[in-house]
Amino acid sequence: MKIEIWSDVVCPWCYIGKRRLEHALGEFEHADEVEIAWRSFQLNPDTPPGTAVPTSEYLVQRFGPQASQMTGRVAALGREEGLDLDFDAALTVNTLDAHRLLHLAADQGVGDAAKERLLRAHFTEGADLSDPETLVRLAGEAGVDSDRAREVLAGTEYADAVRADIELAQAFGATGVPFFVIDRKYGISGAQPAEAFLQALRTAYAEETQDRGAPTR
Amino acid sequence: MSMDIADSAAATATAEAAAPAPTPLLRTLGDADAAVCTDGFCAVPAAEAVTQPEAATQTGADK
Repeated sequence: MKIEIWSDVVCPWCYIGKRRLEHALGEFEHADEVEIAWRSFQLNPDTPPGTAVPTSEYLVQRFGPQASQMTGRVAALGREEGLDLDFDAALTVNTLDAHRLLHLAADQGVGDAAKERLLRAHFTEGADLSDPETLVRLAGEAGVDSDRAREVLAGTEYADAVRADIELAQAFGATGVPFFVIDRKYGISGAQPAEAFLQALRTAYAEETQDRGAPTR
Repeated sequence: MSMDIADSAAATATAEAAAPAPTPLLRTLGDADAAVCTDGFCAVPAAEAVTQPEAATQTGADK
């Protein structure tokens, strides 16, 4: 069973959804048969590369005075999942380079570790994910070869892969992220409660098994 | 406002007006109203908006 997950590293619901899916997988009887593939999506593709704007300022510009109320609610939901979402420290950036690095990480077998590291760096540590050396350091901490990371960031490698991911999400009819696709047959939108993820996983597994004519365990 | 998935799709659709409308490829599972980011941040539904009638677009059978 392959789960493809479209998300952005500056998307709080993506971080919350990741945790909830992990909780569901902890309960799923066939978790050892699950493969996770992270797919790219950029929420702010128009943000100029190389710039970092305090997220708190960005949100006030976007949403006005109610921004702090919105972040407060999401932060509270994050805490329920054990996440420290610090919107006062976070920096809004163009995440294209971060996504290119995540593709490299996936090729090196550490895609999930790199995704987790970048999410934590953005939401908890206030890291500037537009800074190449910061990205190299974080990727290195997740197990990515640092020389290779620098090489990728110095060029345009994996940019096509990022674009292809975004186009595929659109083809699947995604209206936001996180967006989860199981075996290219089932779509799950949003940061579902862990129970909903678990039920969806069981439904998909049972139907796939039935389609293959094999008995369910 | 920055471009979100829906806006991107709309822009693509405008640019390629001759292209046929995409056919839904996936069966929906889970709660169709679960929170997603669409524009750089994700507005949390107000408490009264969370309790909605069964979504008309719900196609999954796992409720």
